[in-house]
Amino acid sequence: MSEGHAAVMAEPTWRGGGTPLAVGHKKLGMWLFIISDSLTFSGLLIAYSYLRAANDWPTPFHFFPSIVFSTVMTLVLLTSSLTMVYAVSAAHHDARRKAVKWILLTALCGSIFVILHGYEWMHLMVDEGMYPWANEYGTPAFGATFFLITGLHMFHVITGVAYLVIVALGYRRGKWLPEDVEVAGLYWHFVDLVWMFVFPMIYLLSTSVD
Amino acid sequence: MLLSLIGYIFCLLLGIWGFYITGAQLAQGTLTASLDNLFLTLFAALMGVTCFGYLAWRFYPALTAPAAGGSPAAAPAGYVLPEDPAYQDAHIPLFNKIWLGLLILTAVEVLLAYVQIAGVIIMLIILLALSLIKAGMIMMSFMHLQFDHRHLKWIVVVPTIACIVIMCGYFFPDAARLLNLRP
Repeated sequence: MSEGHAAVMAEPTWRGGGTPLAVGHKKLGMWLFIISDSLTFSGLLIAYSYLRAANDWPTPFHFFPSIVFSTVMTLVLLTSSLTMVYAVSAAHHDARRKAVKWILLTALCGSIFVILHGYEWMHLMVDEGMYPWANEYGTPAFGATFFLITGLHMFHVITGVAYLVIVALGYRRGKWLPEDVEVAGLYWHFVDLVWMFVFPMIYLLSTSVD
Repeated sequence: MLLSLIGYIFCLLLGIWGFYITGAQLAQGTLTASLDNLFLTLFAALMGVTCFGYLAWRFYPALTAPAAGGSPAAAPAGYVLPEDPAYQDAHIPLFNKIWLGLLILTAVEVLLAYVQIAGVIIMLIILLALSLIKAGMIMMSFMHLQFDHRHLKWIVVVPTIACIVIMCGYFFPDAARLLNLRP
């Protein structure tokens, strides 16, 4: 425990002292954001399940490129979570260069995810004629839910990449502390976690098997 | 000690009951026969997931704790902020294993999407169960929740699950109603 935390915990609770959850305020704030954001995503996924149960749902995704691409995207995202864990560990060792290297590697993995996903979107729009408002498979709700949910997730990934780059630069300059790296890591793991639900529900349950 | 043992056994039995009812409903194909069946199945499945989830929650840290003898093992108890570098290092092998497990589970999911061992509802349940396991692994290890104070675990998990269950309870019976309305 650092001296700063010891000093804070010596204060009475109503004067800002004490940490009943045993985490710093930045980390607690990120956890609260993650709770609310996970409710946003679960609301969207439940709405998707509702529409899917109440409609004749098309299953148009072919093995190549859709399923291959989304599987590779999943592997890239999982690997980026591991590199983020290494970054947090290095940051707690005060190994500044190493930590920055791992954070930037994580951001690189995130960028690869966005590029692959963008290619997948272009393929669906240009080759398959699938748009948020219309598609050739069946109910328009298919395209609407697909682009809404994956789009919101991709927005989170793009935000996360920007966040990681900013944190890496600030941490290298000494502006921010290892705790900030850890908080950025929490956000990044959450983006990974959401994809663990989006991938099977949107992609794997809509594969064209024959 | 004895009381908590009885509690664990009761929890296990309740979980088995929940999954038994769910499985029986699914096997007989009476899931969407009426709203009562759907409600009972949802309730039983929730009971099973809750009981087994609690047991996993209770015993998972003990199963994956770092080997005795290293100094970090003493760290997690009480109000300790996880900033000790040695404490961080002790978990790197665990994180590598978790990563490998996540990759394998993903491969299993993709395989299941093509093998299609059952109808769409059962496939949905299997895939969602695998996803929940993966999410739990990420939250407990990568997001460090396993080593945080238990109050933080409760504040993260309980409101989220409560809200999701309430939303499911609102929406899915209505989806089944729309399904039965179709000519």
